[in-house]
Amino acid sequence: MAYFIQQLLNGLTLGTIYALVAIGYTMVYGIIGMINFAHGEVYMIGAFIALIAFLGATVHFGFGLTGGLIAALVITALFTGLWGWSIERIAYRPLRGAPKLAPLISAIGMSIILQNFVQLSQGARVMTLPPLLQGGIEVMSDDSLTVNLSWLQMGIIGLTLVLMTGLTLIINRTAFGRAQRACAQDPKMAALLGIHVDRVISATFVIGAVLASVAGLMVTLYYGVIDFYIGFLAGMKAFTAAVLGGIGSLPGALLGGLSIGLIEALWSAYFSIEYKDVAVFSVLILVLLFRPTGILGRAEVEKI
Amino acid sequence: MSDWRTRGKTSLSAAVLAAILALPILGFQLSETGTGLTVLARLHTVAWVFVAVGLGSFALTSARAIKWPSIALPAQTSDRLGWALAIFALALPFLPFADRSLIDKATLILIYVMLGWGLNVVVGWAGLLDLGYAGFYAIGAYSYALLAQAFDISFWLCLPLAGLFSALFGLALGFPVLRLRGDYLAIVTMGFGEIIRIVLLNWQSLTGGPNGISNIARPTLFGLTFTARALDGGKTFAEALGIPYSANQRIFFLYFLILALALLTNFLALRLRRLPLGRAWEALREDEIACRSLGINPTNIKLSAFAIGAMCAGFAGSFFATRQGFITPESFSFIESAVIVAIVVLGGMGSQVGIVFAAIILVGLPEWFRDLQNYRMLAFGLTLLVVMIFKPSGLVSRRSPTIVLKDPA
Amino acid sequence: MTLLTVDNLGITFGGLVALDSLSFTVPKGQITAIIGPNGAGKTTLFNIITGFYQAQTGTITLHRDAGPLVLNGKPDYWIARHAGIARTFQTSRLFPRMTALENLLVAQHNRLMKASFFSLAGLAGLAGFKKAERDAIDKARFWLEQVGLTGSANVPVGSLAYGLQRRLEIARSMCADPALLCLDEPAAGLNPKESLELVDLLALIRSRFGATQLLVEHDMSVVMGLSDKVVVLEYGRKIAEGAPQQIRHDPAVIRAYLGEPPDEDIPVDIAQDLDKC
Repeated sequence: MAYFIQQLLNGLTLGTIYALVAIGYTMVYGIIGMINFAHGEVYMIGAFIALIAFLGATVHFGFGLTGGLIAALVITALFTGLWGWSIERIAYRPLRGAPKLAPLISAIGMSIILQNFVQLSQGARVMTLPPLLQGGIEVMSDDSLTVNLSWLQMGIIGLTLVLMTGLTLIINRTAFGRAQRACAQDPKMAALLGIHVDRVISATFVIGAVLASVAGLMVTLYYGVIDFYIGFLAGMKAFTAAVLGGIGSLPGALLGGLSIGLIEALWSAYFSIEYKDVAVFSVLILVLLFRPTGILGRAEVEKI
Repeated sequence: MSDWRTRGKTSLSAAVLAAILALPILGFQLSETGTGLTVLARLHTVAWVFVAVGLGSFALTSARAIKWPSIALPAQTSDRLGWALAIFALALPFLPFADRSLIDKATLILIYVMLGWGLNVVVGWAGLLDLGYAGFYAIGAYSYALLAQAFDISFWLCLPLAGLFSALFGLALGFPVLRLRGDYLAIVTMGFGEIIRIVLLNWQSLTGGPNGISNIARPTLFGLTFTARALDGGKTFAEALGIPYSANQRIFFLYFLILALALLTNFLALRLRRLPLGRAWEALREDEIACRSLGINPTNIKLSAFAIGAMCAGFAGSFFATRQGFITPESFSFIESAVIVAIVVLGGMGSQVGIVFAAIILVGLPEWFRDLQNYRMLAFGLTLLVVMIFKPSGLVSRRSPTIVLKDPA
Repeated sequence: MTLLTVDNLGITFGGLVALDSLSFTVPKGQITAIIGPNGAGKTTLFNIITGFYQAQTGTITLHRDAGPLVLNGKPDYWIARHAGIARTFQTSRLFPRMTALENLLVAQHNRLMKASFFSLAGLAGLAGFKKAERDAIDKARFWLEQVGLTGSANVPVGSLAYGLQRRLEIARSMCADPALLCLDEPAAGLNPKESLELVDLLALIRSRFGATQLLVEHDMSVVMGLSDKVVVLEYGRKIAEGAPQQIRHDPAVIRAYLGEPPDEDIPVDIAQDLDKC
């Protein structure tokens, strides 16, 4: 039982990280209907910038742990946000109105560029960071095992919930959120009503990138290892999470992310760690077969 | 964007933006010291980025300002170009400059041309976005390797079997998912591609895991081998012709083999396109609801495209395995699927000739920059991006009708 | 002779009743028009008959020489193929990048597919398939002539004028040799001259090919000029059924179109308009 609870907590932590990345996919898909293949790389770049900023702040500027983390969070959010903006500006905006597959290909191109750019500039080695935040609280224990909820896990889950709530409020309550939802439903009409659609799309990319960078920071702290290749698999799983939850839906992204995290953790714990990704994709396929628009996606009536 | 000042301004802002973007990732480097990680500054690189992007952006905006003649090939020219390319490919090994490395590169390009033609049936004609095509390629390669090893049967028997096996896989995987639309289908096929790769990686007892399979049987021509010495009882190609042995013979043989396979693929695909089945593929791409209203069962049509595409990948996979002599799951990662989709889209979604050019650009060009190992993939990504921005509908986007009314008075 | 019986048909979309216990019959070889205000459920009815939606209650029966065939629960492509029900759409759904000839050949897919023995005979270029293909082309040419589009046979249909696309869609449906042709607002967006040509074409299809037609249309001149029978829907219910003459003076129909008549004056111009038809 204790083992199960521990895996549940680990899965939830992992799931919140996926959820943060999934938001970028789901919002971009919701508004321009494309899979932003480069989003996983944005997350990877966020992780690298966070690590560099953290080390720079602590080693060279003598920041303490808390100061370093805050510096890392702010710097990575700023720069990664700018990366997200630039990617949209360079690779996607020129292709608005182009055949449907063109932006997908340019996204794949962008993703390859970013991966190799980071590999060339930072090397192909795995970067290892010693665990910084240790300790936590004991949740329960039985004869064999003590279930631990670390401060870090609490921080990750807590910060994700705060960000998700904030974003939900922005989307549901602010003028920008209204514009965003309007563009997602009908960009042409939104433009006719005076909404600057390009600006809303840019902002959507920036939001997605900022959240992904936070996820990158978390993953750096949580696992302590990053390399230039982490974006691919995480991106794929986060996209899976977005589809699983119902693409275009914010609560769906959270639900999908948590499901993927839990499936991955529990499958690794009880079956085989090698096939955890197979489990994730199989669940995705099954869900799509029986509920093609995801768990929270609205079932569409085919318009004829 | 035509005058110098605006172009200069655009380039300057691009340079500033690039410098800011590069600052954290390029301007600082993570480095391992005895005690742990630290960062080192190397800010001069940011200055280089500033200059390079500034100049590059100026060149690009200038290039965009020029009115490029569009290469809209009329259907007939496109046909003729196809024939010219085929004849050139046949003659290539006999040209004076054709050395071993050139033929090797041409063989590699032809593998991708064949894969592109196979995937074109699925993506270009039937309009089904398949991002897991490398999975079928892998199944072809592994079925060939395993069949050849386990039963010691020849390449010529294994080849159709491997194709058949891939097609069956295509049917089995396609059946449940083909009713999904557009991007959902893309993600599911991508998932399938990854599942196949992970299984190959972990099913140690069958596939050899990450080490893959080595010593795969080489192909023979009418039982003649392309080795220096014949195996017991057999004959080598050189012996049979009474010429001295040269390692080039095998290289050239492989080239002609893939050329024949590719041309056969092309021939069958083009012929199928002109049959009711092919027209139904394209009709399905254009409007699935209209197809259903005309009594066409969309699942069957999609499955046929999927299976035929998978079969071509199976053939190409067998060839890949016999050419390399060894295979590992690494050769069938997502990036392979992405390259093949990129070839189809860049070629113009449905144009056979366009695919040849796309394969030369995307596979051939980076091969020539092999020496710059590390920059190869970066260049590949940049090519994808730049070509898509300049020609979003592909190189040859004109569609030629499958049938023509002779005297439409 | 009845070709199609619709009995007690009902469907709701998330609480909204789109069709409510609707019953009527479609006589064979005639043109039956379905009219009614926007949102009356006309297109929904079409979508159910052609299998794109599934009804929640009721049955639809096709009376063939071979015996009755219940269409409920059958998928759309099955209905098109085995019941021989063809349809057009409110906004034309041609295959835009394919030529007119290709569009008309796709409509003959199942026959050609069989003739090509699932492409094998076609790949081998056997004579049987060649012959079937020639026949299919002849049929396509015939229908191109009927709609006056022979000259555009080799043109991608996406580049044709709107009115021509609508005619071509009807030709494409006819290439499938339908027992029942369902036309969803074929005159929408046509100018008066094109409307007249459409009336001629549909009348020809009835007289020369004996095809039964089910017609949803707002243009009353088309409806009154063509149909042998009219069924009027309002809010998913049938409010009238009968010959055009009867329908024109039916108080329920007038109310549906003009609203509850106030005691004072009916808007004269509209009443006259309806009368003129």
